[in-house]
Amino acid sequence: MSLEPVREGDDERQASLLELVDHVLDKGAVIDGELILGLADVDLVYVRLSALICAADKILPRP
Amino acid sequence: MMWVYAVVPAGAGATNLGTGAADEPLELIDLPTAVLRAVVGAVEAPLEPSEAALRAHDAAVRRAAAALEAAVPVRFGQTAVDGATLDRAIAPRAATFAGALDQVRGCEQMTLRLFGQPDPLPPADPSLGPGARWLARRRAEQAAAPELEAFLPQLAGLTRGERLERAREARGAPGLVVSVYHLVPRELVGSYRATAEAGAASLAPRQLTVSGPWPAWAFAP
Repeated sequence: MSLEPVREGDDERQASLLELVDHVLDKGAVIDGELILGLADVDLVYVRLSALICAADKILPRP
Repeated sequence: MMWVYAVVPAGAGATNLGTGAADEPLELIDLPTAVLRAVVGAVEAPLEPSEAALRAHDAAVRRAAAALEAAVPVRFGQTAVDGATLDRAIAPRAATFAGALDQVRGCEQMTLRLFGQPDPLPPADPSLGPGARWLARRRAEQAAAPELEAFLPQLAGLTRGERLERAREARGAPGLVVSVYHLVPRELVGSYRATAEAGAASLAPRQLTVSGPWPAWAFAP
């Protein structure tokens, strides 16, 4: 995937990307089970059927 | 190839849904076996999950949700060869989709995320076997962020559905502790946000973020 690396201190962008990845990639109805993604700088789990993509909590706002 | 954006009620209609993640025109198609409709777009090949494509997919789902009485968002990356294939794929779960559409009708999703240091887990009981120790750890992880138990009832009168999701990995460094997804009637979104933000201080030293409104991503079957 061609995500730009999120730079240190870019909190708003990090938070926005967290929300986007969580909602659009990790939620929503799954029609067909096989999906492979490659996201730069984000760990992924290969999913099939009812498995989940675990990516959102790798992108954290700085406390 | 058909890129799928949302499942909507049978008979749902909209004059202009705009374009999808590949700038393709969006259309509503019938799923006669499932007795539903779907918002789809014709694409040449599966889309790369770029940030721009994710945002465009979300934007298309938002338009569908705004233009139609109810919409269940479909995850990025879902495709079908044609409408008949999509209909066959969804039909076995038609009742589940219909129930979800009933639940999300007239609502938006609001998302709360609690960040901070995770609660330390109790030490393992050495008298337990490995399986029992694993179960005990899982129970302890599920009990993380008990301060939410006092906070969430403040929002209960403003919501029509709730999903909690604990962070999937235990970690030592501060990070995401728990996510809460709420279905909120559209007319109550402003009150929800004000109540959530006003109560955030009670969760210190952990930080609470409030985002939305979103389409009902977390309430899709």
